[in-house]
Amino acid sequence: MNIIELLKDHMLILDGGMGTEILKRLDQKVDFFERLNLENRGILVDIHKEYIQAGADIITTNTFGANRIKLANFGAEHKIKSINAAALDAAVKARGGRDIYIAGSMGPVGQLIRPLGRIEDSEVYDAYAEQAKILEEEGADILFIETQIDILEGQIAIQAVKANTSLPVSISVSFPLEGGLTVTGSDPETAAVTFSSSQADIFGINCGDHPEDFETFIGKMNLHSNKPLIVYANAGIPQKKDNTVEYSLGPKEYAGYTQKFYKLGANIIGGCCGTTPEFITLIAEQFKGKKPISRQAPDPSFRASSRNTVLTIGGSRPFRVIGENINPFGRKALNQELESENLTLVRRYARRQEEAGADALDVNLGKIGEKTPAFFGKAVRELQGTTKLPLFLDNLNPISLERALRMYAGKAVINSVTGVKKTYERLFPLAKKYGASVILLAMDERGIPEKAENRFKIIEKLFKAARKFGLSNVDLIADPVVLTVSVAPEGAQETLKTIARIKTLGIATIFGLSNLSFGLPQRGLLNAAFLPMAIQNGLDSAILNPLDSNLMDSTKSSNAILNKPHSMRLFLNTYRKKPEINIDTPERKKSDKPKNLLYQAILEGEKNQAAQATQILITSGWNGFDILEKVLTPALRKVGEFYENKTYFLPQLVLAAEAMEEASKILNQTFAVEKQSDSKLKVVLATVHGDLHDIGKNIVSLVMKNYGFYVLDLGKNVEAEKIIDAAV
Amino acid sequence: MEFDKLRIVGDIQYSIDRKTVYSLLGYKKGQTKLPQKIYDRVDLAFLEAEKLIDAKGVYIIRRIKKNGDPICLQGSRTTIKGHSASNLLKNSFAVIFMAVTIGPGLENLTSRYTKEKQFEKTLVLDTIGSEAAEASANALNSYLQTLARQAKYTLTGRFSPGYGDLPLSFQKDMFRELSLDSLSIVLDKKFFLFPRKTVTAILGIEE
Repeated sequence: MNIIELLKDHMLILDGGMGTEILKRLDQKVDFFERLNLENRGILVDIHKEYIQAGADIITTNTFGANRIKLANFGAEHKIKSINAAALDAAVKARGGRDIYIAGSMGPVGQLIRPLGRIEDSEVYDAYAEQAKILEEEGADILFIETQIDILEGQIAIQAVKANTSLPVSISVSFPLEGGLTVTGSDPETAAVTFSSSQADIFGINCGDHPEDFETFIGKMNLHSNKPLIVYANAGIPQKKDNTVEYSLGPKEYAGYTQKFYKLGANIIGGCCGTTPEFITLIAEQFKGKKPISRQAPDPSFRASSRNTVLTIGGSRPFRVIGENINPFGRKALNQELESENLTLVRRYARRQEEAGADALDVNLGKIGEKTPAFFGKAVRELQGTTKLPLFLDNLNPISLERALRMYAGKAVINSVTGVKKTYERLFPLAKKYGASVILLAMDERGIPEKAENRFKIIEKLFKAARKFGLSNVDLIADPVVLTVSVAPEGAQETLKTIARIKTLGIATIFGLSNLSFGLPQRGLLNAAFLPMAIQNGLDSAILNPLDSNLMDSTKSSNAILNKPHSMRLFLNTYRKKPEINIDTPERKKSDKPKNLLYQAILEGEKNQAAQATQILITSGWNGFDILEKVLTPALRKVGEFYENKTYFLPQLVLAAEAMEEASKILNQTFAVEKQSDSKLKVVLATVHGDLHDIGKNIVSLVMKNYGFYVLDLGKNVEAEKIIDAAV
Repeated sequence: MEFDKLRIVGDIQYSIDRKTVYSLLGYKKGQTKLPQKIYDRVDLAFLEAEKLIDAKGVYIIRRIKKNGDPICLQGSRTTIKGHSASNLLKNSFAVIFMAVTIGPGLENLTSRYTKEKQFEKTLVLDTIGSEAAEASANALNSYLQTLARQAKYTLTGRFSPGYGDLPLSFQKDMFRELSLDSLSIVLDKKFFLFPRKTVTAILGIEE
């Protein structure tokens, strides 16, 4: 049975770590695991058999690093065919006549793609295509593109595999960085937006982080993806012990986490690094043959993304602004630059619009962008290195569009598709292939209809056609078209009516605002007046000039008035009166002397620096009393003086006290203990109940200890009875 | 204006006056000079606080049966005693009981910081919390003022238990009138409200 069909009603169990099992069986080091495919295939057969015995429905071939680029690191690229074929052979032998799926493992190429790295996207594409073809020829049932740490590489891999094989594909991403990010900075939501629209049949997560964090990651992914979900984590955190690596979780603990994966809707559960057949036995006991828990469909709003930002449009979301300024029309300097294929101004416009609060950027490079696909592709790639915002690719030439889509990290937007059959039949498949979104434009071979009714008909036709090509609401946004009011006085009204009609299709809306006022004086007034009318009529986004503060003010105000989520907070944060705060930028003479460092640390409230400097003074022979008398007390006096004359405000005073506390702690530990142990002069110290301020007490304690008193420090906020008891 | 009906106002859009927060923290214009990193710490605290603050309010309007001292209300066993309240409400025909809270999020964080001895963070966040509670009370007050103005009434100033001779023990009556437990607010034996950043008040409605 087709594995994708089976997943609808059946949980499938995936095997566990391959490397972990290989290492257990080897008595000598191996430069790369795939070498064993040729030299010690028996080990692989045994491992696969153990996993099948444990209950795995899917076994993964030992081909994670068997692509041409990775193998070249070991001079084995010429053996790519035999290495992959041998891995398949081992899996087929282990399977015997059983009903087990063989997944061809395909790991990353190990280098970042331009502009983040040096390798070209085409080289990566070729490497995946080559390996995928071999794996299919040799009998794989499905291909696993796994442990992806850059979403662009994952996207290219999917394209290569789908274009060169007929196998189902699973893509799984790894988020190893702090805060749940891939190595190139994508979070689970961005990955989900990107891959839920891709041609991959299964999407999920593997390796990377402690399984504890997977729960959060999957929750975020489920907001955007409804594809069958695959989850296989590491057995916790790896730790080096002697010459081996140990993982922090045992089979039972890991099985506990898999319960959470199941509840979150996983269809395939297995293990990654550090997991063994024991782990898989427990997973199979829990889930084998069970029906997966069905997940709630993600909300159908329009989506786009860059490598690290998700853009959602529609529903109750705030109005979104797509920056229009990367467009040579009416911009002489930009036009000239583009003619000489220079991108300096393009990058500058991108940065400025992002700073001004745009949510995405439209990229129109005029004639040169249409005539020169390679230049358009290069510009889009460079822009992705300049801005974190998603891009709308505004280009009439499908070849230019495809060049850019191939190297676009994330879910791009094609601007736009008209009701001309030849156009949409070319562009919808392109969008589907690259997982892009599309603007549907109310225009066809007869031009832009005057009446809303007819504009809507075009959009409706496009909407139905797009769905036939496999696109869904999340991929579609409609443009009712704004006409110049000087030429079409009724046009603006018709646009508003069209917006309302489009809403009945359940898709989001967008238009290019600036068209409204071409050729008229005071264009900003007209644009700023029309925008709130359109928003009120249901417009969800517009391509406009984010550097026009009137327009940006208008969108923020409209969002707040219409009670869009978080919009009032944004409004308040933007427009409330900001206090004039006097920022001090003193030119202090830096001194490396520990004494000065400590003094400065107290003055600036730097806790760590205070502790370090105190320690340095002690090691260089200072006694505690001198540190107190010659450094800490003068510093504290100075802080007090600053507070008295209002140079400092209260938080600085408290920070200084905290730094002082750190220094005192170290002095107490080092000096006071031995001196006081045999002292006959005893003192009880405490701050009384209700008083949490103990800095003075701590200083007294320190001084007395240094003078040889035995100090019983009860701490702060101490009840009277306790103090009396201690004293008596 | 509707009488005897408890109204809950969720998600109050408060606007913190940062100037007041700085001033409460001892900032003196023209004298205090903040190093950039201290300014950044305070700025970060504002962001941190805003994420955790969940400002909600509740109010109920009661007709006054009898002015003077004590003030008696229609449809309620609450009486309002003391010179301060009788003076505030001397021209009022109705009284509004109101409360706002910023929720437990911020206080949970400041408790954690206190335990970790990060007193400066506690101080700044606590001050922001106080100002947020005040700003939320102002926002609800403005809303009530709009309602009153539409009905051609005017409102007196806001007066809270603990002010003048209105005792803190009146919180017990406020708690009952406003069913504050429904906003997860707790009243302890000493008449303190938790979350601490909760403001209760009465206002008179005059014709």
